[in-house]
Amino acid sequence: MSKYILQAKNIHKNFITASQKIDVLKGVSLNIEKGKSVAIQGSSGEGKTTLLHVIGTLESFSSGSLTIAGKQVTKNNAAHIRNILLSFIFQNYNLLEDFSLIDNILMPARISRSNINKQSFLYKKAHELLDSVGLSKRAQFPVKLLSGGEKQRAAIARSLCNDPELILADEPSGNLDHSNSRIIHNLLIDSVRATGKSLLVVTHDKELAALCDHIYILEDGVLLDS
Amino acid sequence: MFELYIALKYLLPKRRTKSTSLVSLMSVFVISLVVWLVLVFLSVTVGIEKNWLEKLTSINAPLRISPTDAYYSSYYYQIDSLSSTSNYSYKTIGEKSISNKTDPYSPEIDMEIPTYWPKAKYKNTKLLDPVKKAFQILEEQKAQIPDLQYQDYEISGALLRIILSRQDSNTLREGKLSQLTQMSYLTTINENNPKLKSLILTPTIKDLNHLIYQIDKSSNAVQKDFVTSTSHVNNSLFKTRLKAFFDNIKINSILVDENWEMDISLLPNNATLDAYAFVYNDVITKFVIPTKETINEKKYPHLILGKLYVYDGALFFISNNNAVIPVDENVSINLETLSEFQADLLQESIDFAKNVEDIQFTIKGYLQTHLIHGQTIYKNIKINDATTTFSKKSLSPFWCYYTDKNKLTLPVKEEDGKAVLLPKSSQESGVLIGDKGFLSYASSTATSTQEQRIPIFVAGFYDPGILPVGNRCILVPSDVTRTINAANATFSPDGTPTNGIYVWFDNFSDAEKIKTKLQQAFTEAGISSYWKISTFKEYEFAKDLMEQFQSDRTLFTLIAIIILAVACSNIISLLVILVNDKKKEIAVLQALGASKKSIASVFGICGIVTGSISSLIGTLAAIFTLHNLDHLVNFLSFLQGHSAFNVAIFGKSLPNELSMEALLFIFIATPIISLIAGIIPAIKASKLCPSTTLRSE
Repeated sequence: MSKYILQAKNIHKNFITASQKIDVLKGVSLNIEKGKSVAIQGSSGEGKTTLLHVIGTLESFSSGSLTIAGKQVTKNNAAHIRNILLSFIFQNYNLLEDFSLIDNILMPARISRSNINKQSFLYKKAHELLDSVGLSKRAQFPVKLLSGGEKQRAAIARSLCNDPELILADEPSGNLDHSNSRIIHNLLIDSVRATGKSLLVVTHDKELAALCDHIYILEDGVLLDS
Repeated sequence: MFELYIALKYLLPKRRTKSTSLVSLMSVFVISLVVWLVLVFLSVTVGIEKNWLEKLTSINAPLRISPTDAYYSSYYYQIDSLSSTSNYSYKTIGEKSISNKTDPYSPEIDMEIPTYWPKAKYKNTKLLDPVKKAFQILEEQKAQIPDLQYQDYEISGALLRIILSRQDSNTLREGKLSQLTQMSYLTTINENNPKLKSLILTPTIKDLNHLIYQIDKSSNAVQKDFVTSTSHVNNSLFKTRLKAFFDNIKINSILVDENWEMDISLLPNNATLDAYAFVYNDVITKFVIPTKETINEKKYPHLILGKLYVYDGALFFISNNNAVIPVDENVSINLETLSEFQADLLQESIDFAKNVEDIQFTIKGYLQTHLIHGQTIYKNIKINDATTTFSKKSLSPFWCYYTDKNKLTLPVKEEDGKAVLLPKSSQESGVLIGDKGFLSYASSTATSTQEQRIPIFVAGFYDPGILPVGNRCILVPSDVTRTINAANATFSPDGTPTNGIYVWFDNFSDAEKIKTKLQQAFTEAGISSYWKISTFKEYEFAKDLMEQFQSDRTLFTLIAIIILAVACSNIISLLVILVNDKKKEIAVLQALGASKKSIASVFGICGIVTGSISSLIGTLAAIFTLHNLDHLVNFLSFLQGHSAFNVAIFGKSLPNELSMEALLFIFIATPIISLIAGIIPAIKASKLCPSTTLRSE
């Protein structure tokens, strides 16, 4: 197996609207080694989120190739790769409001059809994860009652549930105040390092970027080393 | 399962999503309503169809074996007309089945067989006997199918005339005579018919009163064309009849009318009763005792109201204005209105009775709070309640009864002729059990056509079901049809072969199976060309009805599917709203790794679950409704002001059994339709682009 968790080669992405064709990504190549964290910075509208969604297999790309943990991404295996190898942390948390906190954490496991009951290993693991983000007392809480900071901590716990290889974070502290942001930054970086996962974070936040092993800048559809 | 887990979460009504909850409740309600409607409607329809089939196959068996032209033109059938052993006359199937010789022809005695005659058919050097063979095959089948019964039948026609000799309801004494004449079809009574018992109506109180009235009347007069009077029977016959009557009837209570004369001994000693007194020559000759609680002083202006006092068998009367009026020693005491008393036959009175009025009863009852107890003769009295027997005791009853093997038996009254059973419509036109009359038919001789009469008496009534000629079809013993058919050419009222064999069995859905079995056995025995086997579906008079049922059922099923589909289309709108509501969650689930297929399944399951829950609710409601159908029908009748369903078509009460077929239909159709309805929103949900949704947040 290659030492890279992510190998993106010459990724092109364009949007076709009624009147014109917009090239957003114009040949992005990016490799991330196992256990490394990478930050991508750039001005608004440069296509950072698009790049993250393309790498996260949520969106298709026009040309190029994408390999995650040695697996070539195709239309058919995208959902499976997302479930097993990837996980997301969003700016607006995106927890499932109809479910309790613990059910949210366990959702990726449910999707991969793991057997879940109160005695199962995954259930214990979910509790440990909640403990590690300091939310163990909120396990049965409906998520809509949590604060912003708590929600993002829950999202971090959820992203680790299915033991992914690469965590994709899109402005994880974008909706939070300064002190909460710092807590999230540290928690995110610490969790990733402690579990040996790789991290790709798209952010404006220089503090968060500085915590990462590499920083790239997306400019005019191309990735530049900072 | 992940999809089910999500689907159930989405379906549970939540306060936050009022619109979705409302729509989902509405869908469940509408589908339940339709399921309820379809189940109740189909169950009732299937039940009605079943009732009709039962009626159709009760007099006419579910299977009929009739002779073909090949049979009638065969040597086997024709030879009887040539042989002296057979009296030179053709034989019916019944006669053939019991005849000693398959080939009655004797070359020494009988005339030579014409050359153009059909050739005799032999099997193993013996003349083939299609009738005996058929009966033998049926007997063999009976060993395999225990509920199988068979019997030969014969149909004929004759003019029926019944003399209606009636007690005048006003005087109860003078007879009224009228006649009922109608052209009728005669069918032999099939004692082997297992369903016959359920078709026979039990004698009514009216019948019993008529029978007791007729006990001393002779039937001699009925052979006349215009009957003007009835005569009395001789004493020994009267005794026999009286004994037969009370052998089979236990009278429980009687009704006495205004003309009934109360014996003084019935009144308790020291009793004081209100009474109207009729005074003639300053002496009371008649008392009328009011039976009601309120006494109307002005009711009898010419009578005097007062108190009647009984003391030591003597009567005293004090009028309301305190006048003491002497009572004539031959005073008669009547009751004001028709009154009921418990009654017990005084057995020994039958032994010395010379006419009906000599019969005595011990009666018991209340008159103005006084207990009346004592004996009375049977005069101005009617039977009010009686228990009748249906098995033969020492003497047979006047109606049909059942032997040990539950076989229907007709009463025998030599002096009155043959016992016949009339359709229940004649009961409605006033015929009673015990009425006498005759069957008239034409008999051709070489020079003229003569009228012949067979005396008959009515032994009961039966429900002809849906025979097209049911209202004119009389059940008669087989010798009656044989006599008539021997005298003139046979005819068929509705295309039913006039002679054949009926085969009965419990489950009429087995008809085709049994037909095939018999057909096979007949072919093997080489007699299949002589017989035509038809199931009730092929009967000439039933064909249209069967087709009607079939097309009705197809139509109803089609309508049911359409309204179910309309109801289930609610699921589409429910799920479309749900999909729009859950757009973000769908995108998140996809980001967490849920495939498009899983997302589609979630909404498909939502559809099926909604459909299934609604079916369940609808089914429970339908079971409840069918259970209380009678109340519902009564309520509908009350609302309409007349009977909601015609008794003639639907029976006394609507069938209220849940049809398993309808249930099966619902439990297959609803989930399928719901699933189909769920597919459109499901596809819409799976087509959502997660990236776009997540970005727009």
